[in-house]
Amino acid sequence: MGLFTDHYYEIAAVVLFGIGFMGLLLHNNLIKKIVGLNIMDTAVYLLLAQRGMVFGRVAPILGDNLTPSAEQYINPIPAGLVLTGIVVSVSVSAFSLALTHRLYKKYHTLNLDEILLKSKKEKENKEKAVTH
Amino acid sequence: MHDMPFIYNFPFFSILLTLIGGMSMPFFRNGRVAQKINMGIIIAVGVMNFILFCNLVSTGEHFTYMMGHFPAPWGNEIRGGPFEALMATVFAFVMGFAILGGVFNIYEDVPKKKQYLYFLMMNLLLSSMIALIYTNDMFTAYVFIEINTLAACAIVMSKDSGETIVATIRYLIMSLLGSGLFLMGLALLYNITGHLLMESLQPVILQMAESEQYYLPLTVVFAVTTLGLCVKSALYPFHSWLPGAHGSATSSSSAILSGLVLKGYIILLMKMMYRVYTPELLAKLHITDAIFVLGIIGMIMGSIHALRERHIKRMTAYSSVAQIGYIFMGIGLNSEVGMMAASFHILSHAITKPMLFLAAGGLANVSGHSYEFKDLKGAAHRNKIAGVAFVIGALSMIGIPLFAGFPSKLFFSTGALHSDYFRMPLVLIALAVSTALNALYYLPVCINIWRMKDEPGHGHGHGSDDHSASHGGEPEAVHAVHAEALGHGSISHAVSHGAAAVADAGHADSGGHELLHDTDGAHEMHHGKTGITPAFVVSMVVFIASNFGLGIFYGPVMDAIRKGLELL
Repeated sequence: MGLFTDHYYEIAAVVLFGIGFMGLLLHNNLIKKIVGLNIMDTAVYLLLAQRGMVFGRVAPILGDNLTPSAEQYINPIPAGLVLTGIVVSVSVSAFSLALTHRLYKKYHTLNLDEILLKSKKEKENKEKAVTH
Repeated sequence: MHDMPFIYNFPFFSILLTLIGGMSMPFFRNGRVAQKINMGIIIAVGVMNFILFCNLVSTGEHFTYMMGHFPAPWGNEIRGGPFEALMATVFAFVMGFAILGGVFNIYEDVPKKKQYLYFLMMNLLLSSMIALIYTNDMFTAYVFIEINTLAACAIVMSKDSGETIVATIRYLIMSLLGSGLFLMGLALLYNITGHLLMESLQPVILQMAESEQYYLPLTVVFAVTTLGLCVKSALYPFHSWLPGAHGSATSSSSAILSGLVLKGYIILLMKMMYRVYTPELLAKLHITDAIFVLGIIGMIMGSIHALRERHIKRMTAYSSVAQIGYIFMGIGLNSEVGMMAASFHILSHAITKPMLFLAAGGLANVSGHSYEFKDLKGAAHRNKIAGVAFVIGALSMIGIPLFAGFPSKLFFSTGALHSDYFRMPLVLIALAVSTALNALYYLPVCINIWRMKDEPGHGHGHGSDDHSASHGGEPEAVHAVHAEALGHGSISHAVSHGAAAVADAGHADSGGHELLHDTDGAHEMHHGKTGITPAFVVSMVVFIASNFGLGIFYGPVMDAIRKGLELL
């Protein structure tokens, strides 16, 4: 039981990562895929941010306290990593959404299987147009 | 810090220069200007890294470069050695000539208003690949992996047709899965070690490995990061995105994606293997065994898939899957020789595959922009230099002596002889089978593109002058399509019609023209639109020469690789 009560952040992060990963891999709807991607990234940020946090300590900013010691502060590096990661995932999401928009305008569906089918058909039609 | 030689700044300059160059392009909004900036930067990067390489090889040194002079646990670092400098030089070289060779198609395929963005993406791509090669920090590697992914997707979709966008979204999804896995592995690694710099990670990991209770977390971390990079470099079961993305993009994009982008991740993986995980530990945790088995399967399956293709670029793309299998097999051999062979194969594939893709593009340009085998029949007579380059690339991929593919197969077999009794027979059999399969799918294409017309006494195609041959052949191609379009029956029939009507070339040309314009605007063909520009010829000649160069003078290159891997 101790494993679950002491490590609920980690467990939540791994479960979320799994949900996001499967969403990205298995869903046919492009928007759901992108949501899955964001869940997956968020899980990693949860894991990182939780690791950096130590309850009862403060952010490492030098204030009036003139005798700083490492004991008072949390580790700021994970927070920095999370920030960088968020920037990356925002740009990746934007790019995927733009692509999805393109595809929707062209094929009028968000279902990846249907899009693949339609693009295949389009290609065949083009070939037929050349041969006839 | 002050007595550091000036040239040790070059890796940092290369990354910064490519980034700034890319950012400057939106100010001009002009494809031609952007291309010139891009080419200038690539040359500068190539020269800088070449100087660095020569210096590091002759002195036998390596260095770590602190960004902003912050010492180890706080600062970000670049690490350079002969291995990294060699790879960066080759990457810049190949990228420069791949763009040069495909520039005709870039201007044709990419919408005019977006051409400068294409070159911007090329700059970002080069920057991220150089950063992946030189970085000493795992998180920096992750950030540049994502930049690389986005830039690579952008150059695939630059053609802006339904097919390429579909290919891009599949590529993007698989890439994001890969980088998600890498990021998760990185987070776990940071959790158990508290470090991100490769230099500080290794002692901690070795310490953990000694006390055996950390085996499970270490295995998970190694497996997840390695798997992430394998997905991104299209190791066999994760290759499904590759043929679509590489087969449908414009020639330069395919060339660079296949020749370089896949390798950037592999080089990062190799660096991590040496500098973070250590090969011994990976062997103990059976990671290299998994890589080895997947590599062997990839070698065979990639070729079998290629055998079934009737589309020249998709076939070449599947051949890349097989070649990536070779590289991973070399890494999985778990020995110094195997690693050297894999590194050499990275180089030989990096100069051969772009040549094949560009040549395929050149052949398609004179065959009504079709990549199907049936339309490419005799295409080499219409574009001789592309035909020659394709044959040389194919022979190199098969592993004929004198070409770059031969030494790598030689080194792979040597590596196999140095490995254990379980791997040796597997590698040798897989090499033999894969070589035979390579020959089986490349040679028919080579024969097909050089096939003569079967009319006796018909002298066409024997023209010694490249220029006149290409011009003479063109109406014929148009007429072939024309005849086919009118329902004259099979292709060979249509071709013979075209040949018969060569005397009446002008008529055939104009007739074909009208029809093609009526049916499909994409299939334009005019005189002087064959794509055999001086840039294309120069690029093909350089690729052919470097293929011979690497195939004959592989000794010095191998020495440099050995030295680089020792210093890694």
